[in-house]
Amino acid sequence: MDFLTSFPYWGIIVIILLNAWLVSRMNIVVDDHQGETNNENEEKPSIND
Amino acid sequence: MTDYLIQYWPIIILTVIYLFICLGIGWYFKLKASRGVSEYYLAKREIPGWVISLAFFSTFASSNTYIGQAGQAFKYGLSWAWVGFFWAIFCVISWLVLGPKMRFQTAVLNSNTIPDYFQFRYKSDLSRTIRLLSAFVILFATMWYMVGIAKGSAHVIQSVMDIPYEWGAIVIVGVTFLYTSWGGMYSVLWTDAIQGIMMFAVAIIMVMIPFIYVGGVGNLFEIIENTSHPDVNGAPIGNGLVSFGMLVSFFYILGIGLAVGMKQIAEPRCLIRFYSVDNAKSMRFAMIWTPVFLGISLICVMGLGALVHGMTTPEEAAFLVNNTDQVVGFMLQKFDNRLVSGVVIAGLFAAGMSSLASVMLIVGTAFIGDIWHVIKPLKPNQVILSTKLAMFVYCLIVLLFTLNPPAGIVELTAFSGAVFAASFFPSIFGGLYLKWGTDMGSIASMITGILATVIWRFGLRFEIDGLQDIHEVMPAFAISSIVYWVVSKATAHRIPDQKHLQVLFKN
Repeated sequence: MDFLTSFPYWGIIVIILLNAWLVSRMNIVVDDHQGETNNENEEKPSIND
Repeated sequence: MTDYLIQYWPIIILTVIYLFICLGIGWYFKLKASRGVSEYYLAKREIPGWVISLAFFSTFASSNTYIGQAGQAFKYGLSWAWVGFFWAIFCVISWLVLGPKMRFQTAVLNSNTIPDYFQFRYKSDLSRTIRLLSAFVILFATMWYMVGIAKGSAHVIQSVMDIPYEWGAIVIVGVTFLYTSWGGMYSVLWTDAIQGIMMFAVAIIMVMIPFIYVGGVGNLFEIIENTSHPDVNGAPIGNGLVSFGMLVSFFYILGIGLAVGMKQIAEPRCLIRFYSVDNAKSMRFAMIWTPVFLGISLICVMGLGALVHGMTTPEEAAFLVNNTDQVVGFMLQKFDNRLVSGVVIAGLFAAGMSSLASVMLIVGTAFIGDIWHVIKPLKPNQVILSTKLAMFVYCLIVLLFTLNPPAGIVELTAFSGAVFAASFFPSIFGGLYLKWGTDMGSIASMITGILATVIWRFGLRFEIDGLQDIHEVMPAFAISSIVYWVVSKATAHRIPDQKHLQVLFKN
């Protein structure tokens, strides 16, 4: 098998490892500020009960 | 009948157990999901990271991946794994670039669907139109995808279990509808997670079959490194299976890699997964592990067809090279182990049903939440029942098309992915990162993306020499992104108010 044919197989492993390293260094914020924006003045048919 | 049961009992037992587990999960979450729209549509944003991670993987990878793409390597060789490489890159991009931002902004905006995100984010008199337009795109584009998945799954049932195609289609669509409508997003995500585990295991089992059949890695590669099997033109393949670009052009690989891979950054069935993550710790887990589940599975599956050459005679290869969808079924028949066949078939069901269920719920929420409710507002208690009804009607239409599938349905599913990538991504990325993005930029890029995809596909690609291998997603995506930028800059006076933007961009 030549280099370019084998590349995607080990390339995927490299991507996985690189991604894990990047994510481990990231500051991730998903705090729940649900409904914080004011949409009252627009036509907003909210489907939340 | 007795002979049939004796012949197929392992497959039947495993399949029935699997189907009852799916139905059981749907029934278990029925009461919880019916408590409110946020529960039914989003599982109330309380799902752990490992479930979301597996659900994203099983939703994106489908029976088309495990049957269609795996079979393509029979024709194109081990180079076909480049397609999987691009998919893995887009998986990483999706989680790194979109995941946390999308979870944050959609919670702030009280958004339950992708179309309503567009409306609330761009916040103007025009944003309702963007919501309606995107909902209609979802309804149209997902139809062909659902038909393609149902058709593929029904063919698997027919070829491996000898059950008529029509009955297979009815069972697949019917069971998926039942558990999806009962448990809403809860049952979709939890069944997806179980299906993801099955698919991951089945990918590893599938890639082992040719090696075991031939008797080891060395033996198999000795056969496929130089084979007299014919290619699509009837000429001997030689060393084409292990040589880059000999059996397929890199542009073609790039086109499929982008068109399908970009679904992960633009298709609602994938993006809606971000909405339901319960906290930052879960998000981090899913960001790390989703590429692992998808990447390892793709390593196993994307080159599988090339390995099956080691199990075939030249006559069988001559047939399979023109019927690559039958490569996986052939491999199972040739291996002739009922237990392995049963496990793999259950995994293939899982691959089809996980994608089907996700799309089914997206269609129901788009039709009721983003079209009907916008035009004629419903009371909260009417929304869930109406969504179930919409899914039922849509399933009947899908079933009708599945029983009489139009020609080229598989190509249409890749086309629908290109429509989403070109028409949705600029508005999503701009909404998440570009404060200067406007409603006009969004709607202009959506319309341009749809038109460019259609015109390139049906007016240019197959009409002009040299363009065949350039997939419509490439020009359409570039054009729609440029249009978003230019029109947003030209309509800067329509940028939403600063207070709105400050809340959205404070993380």
